[in-house]
Amino acid sequence: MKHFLFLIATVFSGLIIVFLYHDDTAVTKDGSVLKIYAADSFIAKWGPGPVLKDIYEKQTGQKIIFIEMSDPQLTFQKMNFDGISAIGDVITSLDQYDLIRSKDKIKWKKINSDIDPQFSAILPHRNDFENLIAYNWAPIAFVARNNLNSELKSLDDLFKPELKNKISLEDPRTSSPGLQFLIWVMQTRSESEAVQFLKKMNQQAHSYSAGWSAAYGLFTNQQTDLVLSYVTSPIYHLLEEQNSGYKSIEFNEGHPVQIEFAGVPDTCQNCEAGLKFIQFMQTPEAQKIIMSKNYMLPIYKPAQEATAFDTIKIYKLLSKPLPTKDEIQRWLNIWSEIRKGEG
Amino acid sequence: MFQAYFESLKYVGHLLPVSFLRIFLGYFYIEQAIKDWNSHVIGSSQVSDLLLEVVGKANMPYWYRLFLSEHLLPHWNIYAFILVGVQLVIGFSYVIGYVVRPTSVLAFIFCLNYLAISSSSHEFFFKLMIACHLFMAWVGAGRCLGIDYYFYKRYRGIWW
Repeated sequence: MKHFLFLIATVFSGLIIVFLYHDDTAVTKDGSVLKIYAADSFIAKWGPGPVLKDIYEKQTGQKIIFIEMSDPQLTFQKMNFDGISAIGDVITSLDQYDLIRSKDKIKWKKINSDIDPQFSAILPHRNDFENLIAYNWAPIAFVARNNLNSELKSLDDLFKPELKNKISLEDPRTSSPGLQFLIWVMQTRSESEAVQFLKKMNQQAHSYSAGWSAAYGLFTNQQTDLVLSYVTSPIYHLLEEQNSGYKSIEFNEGHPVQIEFAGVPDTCQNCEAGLKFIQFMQTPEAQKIIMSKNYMLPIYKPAQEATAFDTIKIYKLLSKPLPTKDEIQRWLNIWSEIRKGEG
Repeated sequence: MFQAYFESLKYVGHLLPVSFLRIFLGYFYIEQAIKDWNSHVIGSSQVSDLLLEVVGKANMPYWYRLFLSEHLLPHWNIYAFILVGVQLVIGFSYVIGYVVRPTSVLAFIFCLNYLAISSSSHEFFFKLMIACHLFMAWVGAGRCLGIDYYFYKRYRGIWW
């Protein structure tokens, strides 16, 4: 017993000494550090984060620290809880539905931007997101290999017998493309039809993966023939693998769009640097980096000119009003109930 | 003591694979402690994602929710410090093989708590960890390639 207590006492004494002698005030309070919340795809080695960080640090002399954000809703909850002592000068990787669901949770600083993206057409309800700046976007679509032996024109064609267990989808509770699909189905049908569609899809789909990468992995490993992804996904294969064997498929219903936003929360500590970073994200240089690393379309259109992204056909977009927070929650509950029923 | 450390290979060498698992788990806990130290203790005041997830859970006993929201979350820094300390105790104990049995019991309780509060996606992981800790306690995993062998030779008893 005394040995065990000795071990505990030694470890805790060591920790207390390290804690007392640790001085973190130097880096956090002199305004030279910018803390940015971002999704793992943004800050991963292959994502745009590290390159943007290098350039921004060289240009301004300010250090950037990325904080991984697994779930934006949890991050907002955390910032609410921490109040004025909350960290995070910038939050990126937020899509329109994250923002709808967190509308009352967080206040944003006003951002002045000279760029007026060709954007009002993509998202008619732009004013709902004032004080946030969009930095990339892409329509959602099903992606297949060119040799797919099935002609698809609408969501209903997904039920063709040859596609049984050949479709990778994402879980709408944990993945933004998954939520986009749920909203796509709900907004293009009456509620009872949509419920029937989802029930049938449960039998038809191979699986609902927790995230986009797992679903896409099933597709690239040839376990499925179709995956819910972005119209820009075939460009990834073209540029990274020199493989032109992939295509996105246009549906009659019109396609939902994912737009990613960044903002400076009201609780920021280094607000000026945060605002500067967001403006930097809209510069042509940063837009090119974000486009080529995220494989999404830039908000600043000239950035995509004379690149493979310029060849992407933009399909007819879904022109429906944005759902409310309650509607999204209700649809998610319906989806969960259907899944439970099937399980 | 140093001699006994390697001598254990000769007499309880059959426990070597268990020692490998023990050292790996120790490494895992130390790595986790460093990560939590940086993000929860010195990095900022940010509350653990897991705890926030737990407070929002519907099927949580009332008294436990009250404890979390009224006591633990407002004093998160202190609890984070203790949490990191416990992780380090487990990590060091497993890596050097010192007082592995009582530490395994501590680790068992630690994981049991997480099992109770975590979502179903983490359930399997914590069940597996609990099984590993019980296994460590059962076989006395510190006796092979561990300091426990030195004390076991001299004092015997259930602590080693």
